Amino acid sequence: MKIGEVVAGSVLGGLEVKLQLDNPEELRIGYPVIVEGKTYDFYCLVEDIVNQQLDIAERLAGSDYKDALVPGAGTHEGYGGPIFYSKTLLRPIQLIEKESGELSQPQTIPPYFSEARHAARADVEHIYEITETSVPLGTIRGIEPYYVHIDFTRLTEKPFAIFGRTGAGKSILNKLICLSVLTKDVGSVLIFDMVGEYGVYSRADNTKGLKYYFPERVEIFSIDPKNQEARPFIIDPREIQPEDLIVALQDLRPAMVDTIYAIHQRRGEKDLVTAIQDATVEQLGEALVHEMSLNALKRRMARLTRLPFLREGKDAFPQMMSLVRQGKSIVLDFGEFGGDRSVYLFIANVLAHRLYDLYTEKGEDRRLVVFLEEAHKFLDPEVAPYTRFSQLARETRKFNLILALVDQRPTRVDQEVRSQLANRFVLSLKEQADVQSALAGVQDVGMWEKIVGTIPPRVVAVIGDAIRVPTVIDIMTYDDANVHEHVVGRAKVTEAELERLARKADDIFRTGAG
Amino acid sequence: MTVREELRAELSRMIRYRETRPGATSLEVRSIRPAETPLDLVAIDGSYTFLWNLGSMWLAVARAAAIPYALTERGFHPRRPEIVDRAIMVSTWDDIVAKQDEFHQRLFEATRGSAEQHKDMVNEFRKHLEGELAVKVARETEGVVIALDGSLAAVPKELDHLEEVVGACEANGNTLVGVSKDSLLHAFGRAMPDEQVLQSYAGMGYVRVPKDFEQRQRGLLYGDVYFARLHPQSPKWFRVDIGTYKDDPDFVFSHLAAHARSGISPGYPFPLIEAHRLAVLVRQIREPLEEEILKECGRLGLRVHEVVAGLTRVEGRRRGAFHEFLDQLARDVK
Repeated sequence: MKIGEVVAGSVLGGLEVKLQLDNPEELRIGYPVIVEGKTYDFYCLVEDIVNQQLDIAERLAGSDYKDALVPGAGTHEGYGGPIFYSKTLLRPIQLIEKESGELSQPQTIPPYFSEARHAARADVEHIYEITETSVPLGTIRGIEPYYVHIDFTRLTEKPFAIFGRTGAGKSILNKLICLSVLTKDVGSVLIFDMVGEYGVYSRADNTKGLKYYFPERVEIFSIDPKNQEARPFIIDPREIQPEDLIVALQDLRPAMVDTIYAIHQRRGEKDLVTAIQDATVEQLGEALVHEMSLNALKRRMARLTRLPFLREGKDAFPQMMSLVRQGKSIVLDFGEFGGDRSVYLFIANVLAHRLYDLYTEKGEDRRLVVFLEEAHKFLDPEVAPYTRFSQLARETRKFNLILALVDQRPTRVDQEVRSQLANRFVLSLKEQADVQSALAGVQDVGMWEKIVGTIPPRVVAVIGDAIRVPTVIDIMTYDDANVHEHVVGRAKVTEAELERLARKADDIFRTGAG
Repeated sequence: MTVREELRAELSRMIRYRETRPGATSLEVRSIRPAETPLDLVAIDGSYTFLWNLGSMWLAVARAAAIPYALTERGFHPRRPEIVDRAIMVSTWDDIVAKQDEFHQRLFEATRGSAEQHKDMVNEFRKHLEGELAVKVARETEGVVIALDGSLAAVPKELDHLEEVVGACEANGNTLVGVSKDSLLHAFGRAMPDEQVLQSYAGMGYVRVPKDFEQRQRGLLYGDVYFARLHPQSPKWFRVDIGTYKDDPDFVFSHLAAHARSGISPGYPFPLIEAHRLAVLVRQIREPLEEEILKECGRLGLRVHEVVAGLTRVEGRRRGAFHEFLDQLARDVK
């Protein structure tokens, strides 16, 4: 449907279209629009919608119209269309050659009065490609339902990020992305499940988790001993490095940090945790440590030493990696420790160290995508030097270890790390500074800032090489029907599965009859 | 006497003169009921702009525009407008006019004695184009209201098309009206213009001017003259001349009033606003026409500065004229 005509434009500034819509509310920021040039169809996104300042409107505003026709786009048409019209600013993001259908970057503009219309399904089918390893995450806004595919091979080749404020839909998007990675088997995922969302069922809303859809390919480890169904997660204290403690106990003063390093250098055969507990000023010397700093450190350390998973025993890391090598993914359940942020920081950092060493020194064939929630806690410029995450983000794409950042405060993620992101999923963000940080380095950043600044929850701007053109997507509702229909597919029941179900049915009937 | 004292004295006289006529006899104002299913209305207006001056010769373009409107419950919807653009050279020098064709000579004669004859000639040419367009519309459409800008008075008569327009409208069942934006008529015999006299009458209605006024205009007028307030919120009464269906003014005003319901300007037919906007657009196409003048004059051997010096403003005054300079000085030097 025609919505207007081009009245101004430039390659750099975008196209200005005089709208012929009775109601500008029919259009929204981020909607796709086609401008029909002579040689090309210009695939554009709505960057802004404007009611211009008009003297006549200012004079008429506040009038009591009684029996008169209220001035408006629908009631007063003139020789050039509606007297009162809105305009939209469109940003061309792809050219489609009319004859060949070939795509190219927008390096020109259409003539004056070129017709602008809502994009149709046939238009977007030219734009987006469906590949062997692509999966849709939702539909395009402003068009009849069309599921946009993201290529998960490309996505998992380099670090990527999901940015969005609380309640914007990060968890649902995260789940869909994890399921897609598993569906296409482009790698394994490691996810720190703080509130029990990713296992079999979500403890928060009872939706189905990764293990439900991929029971054979997802293993759950739990740091909570009460969770008997998961594999126990144990960290051998001998593996603990000073940086793990510094990151976990983020409120350490510089003197305490020095104390940790001093003890670490002189701990002998002891693990670092025990060494700190046993340390005395006499033993280390007053030149190295102060009584107050040591005591304060020990008090803070008490939080960690009480943790049940920090003990000698069968360390979980080798098990995890063995499973990853078998093509499995890992959900690390935090159980009752989910609310303790320092536990999460501690474990994530310990695992990051080990993963970094393993992947960079020995190399691993199986790609692993590590989802890092609250990424800024690790990648804040003040903390980043003590973690391996910034190195993970910068270096490990060469080694099959990919970092996926999930965060609501991109401003606090180190700029250098952000610059490594090949793909960004940007949901609604509250602070303008976060919007700017989330989009730093993106082409047409001005437009994207406007879009992200206005998009509602559960809508995501996807920008990067995993999608043909940057796109605003309505994230699909996370339910069984959608996940089966669009993500994991309808699995065919194998004969073995049928036999297992038949045996189970027999058991149930026998129990009922008995 | 100081200037302030003179000012006060003159003001006193003005107020006194306003009240010298006997008190208003009550006017027979008839009410208007807007038609529920209004006829389509074709609005016609015109405009012109001067472009270039060479001695006593002026080059101008004039436009006549007709725009048909359908009025539905949802609002005013135009159909394709018709536009006539024409260029004309007028001269105020007899020797040059003598070399021009008969039409130009008629224009010259019809405006002889005017203080700014070149303007009146082009204005008459504009009216001539409007008249031709009105005849065309009246012949090609049936059962519509044709609204012209201005009265239905043929002055000067020699160049007028009103007789043809009325004839074509009668033949095709079209309602012909002329709506004057501003009128200084004193048909009711008051010191104040009729428009202002009628301001005291509230509400919506129409009133015919006294017959003796129309008698005095016989031979020039092609319609009955009324004043009408076409909407209760209209800021003023407009002079409306009715050229056809003279025996049924209720019918005419009901359809005209329906088209005067725009919130933009209650009481004035919206299509006439749009016809006016379309007509004055001719002033916005000056730039390409000036380019054409520069190119053509160059081809004809004139030097650029001569050509540029002759470019005029809309009303025909040269841009570089000395009084332009004085006006500018008066504005800029505080």
